[in-house]
Amino acid sequence: MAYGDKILDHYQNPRNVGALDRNSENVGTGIVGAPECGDVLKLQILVDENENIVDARFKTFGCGSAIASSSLATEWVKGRTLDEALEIKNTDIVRELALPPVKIHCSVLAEDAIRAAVADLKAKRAARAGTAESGAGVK
Amino acid sequence: MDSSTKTAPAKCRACHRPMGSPLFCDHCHSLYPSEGLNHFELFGFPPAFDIDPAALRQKYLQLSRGVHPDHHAASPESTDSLRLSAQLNEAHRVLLDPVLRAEYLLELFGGPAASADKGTLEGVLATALQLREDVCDAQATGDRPALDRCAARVRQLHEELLAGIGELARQLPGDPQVRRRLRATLNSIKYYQKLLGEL
Repeated sequence: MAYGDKILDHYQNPRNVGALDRNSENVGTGIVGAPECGDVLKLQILVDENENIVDARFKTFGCGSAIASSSLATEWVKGRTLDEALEIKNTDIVRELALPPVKIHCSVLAEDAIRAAVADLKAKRAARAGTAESGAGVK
Repeated sequence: MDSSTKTAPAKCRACHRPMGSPLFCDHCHSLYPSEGLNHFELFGFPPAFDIDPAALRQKYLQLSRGVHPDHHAASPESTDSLRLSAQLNEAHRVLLDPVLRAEYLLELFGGPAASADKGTLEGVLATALQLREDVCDAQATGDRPALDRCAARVRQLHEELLAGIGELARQLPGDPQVRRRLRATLNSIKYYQKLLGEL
């Protein structure tokens, strides 16, 4: 199978590999997997006070396409708001990297990871709001 | 055993003698295309998780001989013979492996299919990810004892899930909750299988 330049570039020089402090209030962590192939992917986002994503990291144990898809996803989420990050679709990743049909599930994994990370962050925010409210006796 | 008698004709259409197998006549060797027979019916086993490996092997050899392409090469039945042999091989492969067998049983009893439900057991993805990282670190530093500890841990987790799969698959058809739990356990074990393959 012949891979395109972009996918090879992201695979050979993956951007934003690593981890953020998952216990930080400003970090959202998404861990997703594809049972068909056993690939696991962790994507983390860091937001500022205005809910803008200022940093992202990933760790992917899987094939080259899964690594390239997550690398691209971390590049794309940076500078977006949480809701804007959710607008990234797996089909955008497929197009950008020219993924072959058998590797489309890798892009789905990356999209799922963005969603999971955003959901984790929103859950943290909601939990904090809940504690603040009950602490103030509003509840 | 009911499932085989249900689908096997009582008498051979060619020689009119009683049929011992749903696939071929023991007397005149006429073949019976096994359209619609599932893997369990093919072997004359009830659709249940527990299978006697010796009985499976014996039945597999017996049926394979009966439908073998070498015995039907020149006859108009050669295509049936090839197809039945392939089907037997596939059924044997699936029934021999407990994970594939449970997967197949779950499908027979209505799923959910792996494509429809990618859920895993609580914490499995995070554990698998952590173990992957530990394995990578140990490999990078050439830390053999750490690598052995990882391997032992993965094998233990794999064993635990395998036991869980058996327990749940024995409850099939079960209620939707049992089937969802089995689906999640089958999905989960894939991550450890992959790790084992790489260690």
